[in-house]
Amino acid sequence: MSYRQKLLDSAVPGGSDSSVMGCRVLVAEDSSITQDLLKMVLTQRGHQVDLVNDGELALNALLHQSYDVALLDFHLPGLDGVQVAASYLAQSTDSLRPWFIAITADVEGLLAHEANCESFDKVVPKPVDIQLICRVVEDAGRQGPPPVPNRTTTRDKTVGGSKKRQHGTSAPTRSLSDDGTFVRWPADFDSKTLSGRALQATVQQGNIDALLVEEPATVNDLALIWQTPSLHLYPVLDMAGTLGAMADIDCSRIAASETGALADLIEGFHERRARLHRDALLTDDIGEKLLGRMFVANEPLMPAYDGLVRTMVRFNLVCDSETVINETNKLVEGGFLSTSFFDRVHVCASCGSSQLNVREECPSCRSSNLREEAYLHHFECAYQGPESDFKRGDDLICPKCRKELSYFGSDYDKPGTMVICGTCGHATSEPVVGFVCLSCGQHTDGDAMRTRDICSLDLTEKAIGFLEGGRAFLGFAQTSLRFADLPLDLVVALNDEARRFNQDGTPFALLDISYQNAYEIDREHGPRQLSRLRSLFLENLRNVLANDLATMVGEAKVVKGQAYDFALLKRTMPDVIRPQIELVASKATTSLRLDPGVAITVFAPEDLR
Amino acid sequence: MWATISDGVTYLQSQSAGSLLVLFWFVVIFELPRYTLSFMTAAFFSARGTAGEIDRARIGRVTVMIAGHNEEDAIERCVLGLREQSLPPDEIIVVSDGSTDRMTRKLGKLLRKGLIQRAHGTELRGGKSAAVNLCTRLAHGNILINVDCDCSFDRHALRNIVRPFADPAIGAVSGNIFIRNAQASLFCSFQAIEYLISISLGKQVLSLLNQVSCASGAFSAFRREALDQVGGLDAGGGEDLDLTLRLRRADWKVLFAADAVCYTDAPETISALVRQRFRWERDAVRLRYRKHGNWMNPFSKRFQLRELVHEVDFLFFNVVGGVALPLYCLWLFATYGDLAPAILVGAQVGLLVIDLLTFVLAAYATPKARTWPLLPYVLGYSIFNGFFMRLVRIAAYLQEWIFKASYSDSYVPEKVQMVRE
Repeated sequence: MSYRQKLLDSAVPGGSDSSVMGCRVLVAEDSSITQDLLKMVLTQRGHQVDLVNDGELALNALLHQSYDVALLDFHLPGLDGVQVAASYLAQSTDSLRPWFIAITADVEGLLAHEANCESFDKVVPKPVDIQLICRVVEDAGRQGPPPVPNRTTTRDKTVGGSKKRQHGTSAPTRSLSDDGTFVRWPADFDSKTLSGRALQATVQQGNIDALLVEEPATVNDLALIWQTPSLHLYPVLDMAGTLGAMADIDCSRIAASETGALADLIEGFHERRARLHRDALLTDDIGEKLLGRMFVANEPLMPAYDGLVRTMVRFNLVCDSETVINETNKLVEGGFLSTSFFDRVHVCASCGSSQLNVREECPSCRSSNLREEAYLHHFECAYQGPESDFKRGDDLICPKCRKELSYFGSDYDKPGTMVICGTCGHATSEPVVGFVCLSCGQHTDGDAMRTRDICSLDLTEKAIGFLEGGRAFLGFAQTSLRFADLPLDLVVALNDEARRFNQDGTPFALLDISYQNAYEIDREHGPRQLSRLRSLFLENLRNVLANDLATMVGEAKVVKGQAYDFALLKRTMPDVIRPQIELVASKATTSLRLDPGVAITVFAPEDLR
Repeated sequence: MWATISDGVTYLQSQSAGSLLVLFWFVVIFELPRYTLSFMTAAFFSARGTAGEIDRARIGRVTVMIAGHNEEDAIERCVLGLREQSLPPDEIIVVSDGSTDRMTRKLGKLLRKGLIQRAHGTELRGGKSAAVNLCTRLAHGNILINVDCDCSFDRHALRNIVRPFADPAIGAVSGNIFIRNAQASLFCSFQAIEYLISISLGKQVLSLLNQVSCASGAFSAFRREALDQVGGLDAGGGEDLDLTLRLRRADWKVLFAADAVCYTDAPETISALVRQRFRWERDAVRLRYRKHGNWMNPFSKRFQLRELVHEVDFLFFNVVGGVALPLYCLWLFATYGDLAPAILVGAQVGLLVIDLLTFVLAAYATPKARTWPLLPYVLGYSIFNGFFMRLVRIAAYLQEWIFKASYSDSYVPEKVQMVRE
């Protein structure tokens, strides 16, 4: 019996009874999550599950197929669960009926239903307790078909003329049926080059729940996750149990008691994915994808040791750790991720692998063929050297004075040991540390070895701001001012202006200039280009303010800030300048090669209090 | 007091040359020849000035060996000094001899920095000889230079000490030793003068006469084959003298390189000085008359006329001269009664003149040393060397002869003393 089987059996009393296996179950449920969940768990346990979305389909299925158990949602589109059961009982000509089990969050509503709710054999409240469902289904399977209630049809008489259903002995490993809302590996990934587009279409419809990995898979097999827009934002359910902590849940080891967590997981992903800004949802940038993935998974990136990969660590997501490390380094630099030290690993300078053999080496020839040898001190003649110098068969003969050493402590002693290189014969008391790369064979001295810090990573406020607010968040459309952000000379000038305003009401306006496209420009053209662009724009702005708006603007002080730039317009009515500001911005932008996406907010003295 | 001295002076003035000779027989026999005559030779012969470039190909690889016990503080400075040499060694090997301080760890650091090529720390102290032998065992050089940890070096010390090895007959070359702390105390100044006269000048003379009998343990270079032939150092102490004597016995030539200068600290207090000299003199006596006693026996197979010269020199000037001094004093007092002090003073004045002369000679023969500040101390040195050091020597010989004191010397670990020859 497999480990997995044991787990399942221990989770449900009497689970090993063969008679409970292989029930045919109809699930009528309009929530796709509950559908997926029930189907997966029940299929795992060897039952055959059919899914329907509404009451009519459910009734149809019941009439045309035979089921042991029907799990009916009370609130179904079309006919509700009670009506389905009632209609079946009225219409069915079959002598055997399935167990009817109601699933509902609205138990009272069910009980108050006008139709006969007694046609249900059991009621299972929502949210669904998987363990309870399993027990109910399997109890039903064990007991055989329920007694047919008061019926007057002739069919009743056939009760007992037992109709033995022949169920295929569906194996526990049987995969889920084709329909449903999973993207499956490998089924949907068949031709790796082509299915990308097909997948993309599926994923963009947004009606899938999870990525189901049905066969043993490696990170490379699943690389498509990161090449298909937003596929990385779905939970990875590992049916084969080969992805370990990289999958979001390992279904091969899931115990019945944990299945509630599965529903929570899928729901959590749905909910958090819905909060993602479009920019983060559809990004092509692998770094941004990682951020999005961390956000929907609602977990920090946690490293764990893994001797099978080049980096010697893997993270809790299905992505090769080299990419994760490289990308997250940039993200940490950009302030999107915070770090917490995990471990320091050594890195081969030639190929970047951390799979290294660390060994003690001969400082002279770098061989690791070292052995320890005691050395002897012959007191009488003061000869001191390795024991092998003295060895003559079983005797110790001093190589200098040819006397036999026979009395330890009196003739000689052993003041220590020495490390002797078996390759070059060099003797040392200080072997050195060296590394040999297991991937490329490169040898590196211990002190020249590069190291890399592996950290667990968590999203910063900035990252969450970006994920929820999109790139505009990084482009800083400000609606309020923070004085801490202002350059010092601007604060000084502002202070003067504010004093003047308080004394005699001389008005002034402060322009807060943000760049909506700053992030893109920075990424594509680099920070220097962005900085130059900003300077050019400010220069243009100065000219526009001085020439075109000379009548409205007293004196303009344009200041370059950290993330935003500013212009302090002295002796200027904010309300007069406000309508002009769009024009000013576009005029100052026209000559620029790239459009920085200038957004200018005008602050009046009143706004600054 | 003054009356006796003026009487004495009057008495001395009235003597003829022949009777003065009788009166000052001790000086004439034990002082004049030992210093003045040989120093004249040295001043006359010593070929001064450097011999130009050295022939590295003929000399081969140069290894410096340092054996130290608890030299955590001194080792780095010593190594850095060696790295500054005009002829940097090909290899530096350091053995920490059972150090209980952090010397071994320090060696690891120097090794990683590449300042030294080999290092080893033994866990049990085995004595200097064993430690140097271990160095020899690990060394790869053709010329092995043995250096004390507390020494510092003139920039050209290594170049000058290996230069003579171009001659394949040379087995060992002794370096010249200057006192680094000459100003530290009166006794240090005296020792500085003593080293200048007896080593810088004295060994030049011995070298000219092929009579160098001790390649100093603080700074000497050896040819690898020579060292291997005699089996390296024997259990100490006095291992430098012992090794040199054995090298000479094995027909290797031993030279002194006056221009290969190393600096070391002299004992500052009188007690430390006395202890050091007791050790040296005891070891000298033990080695010359116990271990290698048969070398002076004309009937022994090991007897060599060449070796007899320095043996006699040591016996006559050090041992007999030392013992004769109290006899001379007794004789003076017995013969001349009240005039004896005056005669002694007169003798001392005479000695002072000789010492001054030799000092000037030594200073002249040793241009590298800063000698002139020592000049005022020559007056005191004359008494220090003539009386004090002689008495120390006699005491050391007596102690060694009677108590075999060198066999319980803490300089050598107890386990070694129990068994060494």
